[in-house]
Amino acid sequence: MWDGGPWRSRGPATASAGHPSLAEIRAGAEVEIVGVDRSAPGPVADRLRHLGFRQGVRVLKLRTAPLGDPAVYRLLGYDTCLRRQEAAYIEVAG
Amino acid sequence: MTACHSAGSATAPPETLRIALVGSPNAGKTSIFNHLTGLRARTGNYPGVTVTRSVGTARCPGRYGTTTVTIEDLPGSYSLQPVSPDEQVVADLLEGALPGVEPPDALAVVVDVTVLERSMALVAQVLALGKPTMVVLTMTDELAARGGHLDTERFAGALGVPVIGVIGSRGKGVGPLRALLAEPDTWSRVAIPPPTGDAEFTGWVASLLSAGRYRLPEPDRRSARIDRALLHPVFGTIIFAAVMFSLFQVIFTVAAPLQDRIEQGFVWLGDQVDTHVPNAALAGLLGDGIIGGVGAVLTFIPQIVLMFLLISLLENVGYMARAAFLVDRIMATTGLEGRAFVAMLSSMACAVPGIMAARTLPSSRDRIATTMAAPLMTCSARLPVYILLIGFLVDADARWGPVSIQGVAMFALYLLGGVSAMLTAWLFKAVLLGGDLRPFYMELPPYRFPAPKSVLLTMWDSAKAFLRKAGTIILATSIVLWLLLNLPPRSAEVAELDPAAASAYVVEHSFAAQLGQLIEPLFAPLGFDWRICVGLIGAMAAREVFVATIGQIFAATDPESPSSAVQSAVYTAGPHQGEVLFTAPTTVALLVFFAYALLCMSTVATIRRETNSWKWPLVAWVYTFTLAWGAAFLARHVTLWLGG
Repeated sequence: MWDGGPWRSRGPATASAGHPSLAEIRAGAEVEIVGVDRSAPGPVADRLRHLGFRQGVRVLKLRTAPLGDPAVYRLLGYDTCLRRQEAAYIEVAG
Repeated sequence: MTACHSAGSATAPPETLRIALVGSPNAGKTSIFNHLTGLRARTGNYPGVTVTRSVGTARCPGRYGTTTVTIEDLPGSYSLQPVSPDEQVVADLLEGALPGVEPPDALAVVVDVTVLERSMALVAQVLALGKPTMVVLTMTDELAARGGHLDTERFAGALGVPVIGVIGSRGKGVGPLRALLAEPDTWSRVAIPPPTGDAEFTGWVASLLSAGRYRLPEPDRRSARIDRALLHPVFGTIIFAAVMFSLFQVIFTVAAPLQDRIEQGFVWLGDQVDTHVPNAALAGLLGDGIIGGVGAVLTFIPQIVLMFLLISLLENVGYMARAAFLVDRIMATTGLEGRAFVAMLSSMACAVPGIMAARTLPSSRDRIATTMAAPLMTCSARLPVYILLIGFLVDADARWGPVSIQGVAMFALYLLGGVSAMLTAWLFKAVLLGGDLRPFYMELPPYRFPAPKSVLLTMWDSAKAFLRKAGTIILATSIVLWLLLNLPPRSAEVAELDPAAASAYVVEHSFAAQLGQLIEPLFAPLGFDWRICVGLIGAMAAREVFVATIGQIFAATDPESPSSAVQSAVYTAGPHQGEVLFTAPTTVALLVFFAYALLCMSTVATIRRETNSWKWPLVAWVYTFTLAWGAAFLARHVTLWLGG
């Protein structure tokens, strides 16, 4: 379970409304998606939703690539990787 | 039966039934397609774009006897809402808005049942199109093995359309699938499309899964264990380097003896023609021009087939996605993504299979940028040219401590190619083409044993595609170049000469020589005389031909290793008459010219084939030529300045 920190600080945008983004949580943390940031371009937000990154879905951050980006996430029974840029749009809560 | 579901008039001629397979990448769609269509599949491009199109026919036993159904394997997609030109093609096709392509009459959504919940977003979008739809569930064996469960009948009842389970790797369930595909007019249809709002959609999915008594499979433990090693920061990186090195080595070294065999075979054939055809000119055209040209095309086949064997194995096993994950950060600096790495790497063996490997990239902008950059990677055909020219510049025994300076020069040329290719990729992707909105995402599927049928069909398709379009262009180029270098015939003049002098005489008085003299002024600022220009014309067949052509024109006794005869050659006319031709500045300029210029017509033909247009080969040729000329000019003057 995600214990609230320590958050990675070298992300791009921090998600709004006090929620951390998927880019900021550490590897091994499991979180629930609160929503997709409104600043995300519409098509990107839609695509993330179609990939399963939508409100209420639980996500486990499995690992980050050796060079720091991208990271692998497990959700809805499958593993997919996202770069920090897109992961930063996804707001999560422990 | 007629199965035209579009609103056509009743008098329209009966068409064959068209069914499209829709599904996300890794869902096993291509495996299903291969089982249904086998060798009756054709791959090509959608009109005007670089997106690969696969169409085949399946023989399906229905109520009224066997029907032939046209099956179209759509590019893999997680969503039907387009965010890239490639996905726009799929969206247009489904709506019937793609000129020259008939929209499908019915759709089959291929879903990996182990990720059923994730896949319902795509199923919902397909149902919303309102066409007859069915769902094909793959990986049903894996679901059971990992402790998951789905009651297919109950799930189908709740969903409202036919659902059928298939084991793609073994072809189990394909028979019932064929029977179903024969009669989409009998498929049950949904009354109202699925909800689109987040909360309603989640509720809809939950109700379907509970109706089907769906139990999520346990995460694949074996894959997790393998990933711990293969994605480990240290070991994973070492294994990645080892895998890529082996891939490169296989294309480079295993293909080479096979290519030699093919070449020898065609040389033997050519000799047979020489001895049996009395007319020398005709024998030359048949034996060297045409048979040599066919040989030139076929020598690419071992590389292409091996390359696609390895790529398809790595892809099917699941390692390719891991490799791309590890290297994505590096490729991201050029605006490309991890999957472009393999194409770039294999271009160091040969740009032809490298450019073909760019097919595996999901974004067409990435494919174009990779294709434009790949010819700059130092391919194996440049090696003989580099060895010859570096030999003029640096003594073979020259060393800095334990390091051979020839080796350093060679390394510098490889580095020049690699760095230039990366910069070009960046220039095309980030500046000229513009990024698309498509976010980067890539599924890391569980490790699986590859299906032999899929691997073999991938190899077969790639070889066939290369032969059909690129092959004809390469053959035509080879014949034209042979004619240029050997016509007009000089059999009377060379009758008394020894072979080396005779072949030099023929080339010196050929059309190619006239062409060389014509373009000499263009290359004079680089220090190239007309004979080097003839060598460059010869290099259009393949870069290494430069060595043989130069050898021939300078009357080297052994055209395969012409260094001494060439090195001592002098200008025969003009202001520099009597001066040595291959001075250091000229040699450096020629090296740099070879590093950049897209001389290789086989690469041009492959770009034509893969991008489905003459625009991109033209762009590639013009930009590399300009770059090559400019860089060679600069290199010549820097060398002149350094030499005082």
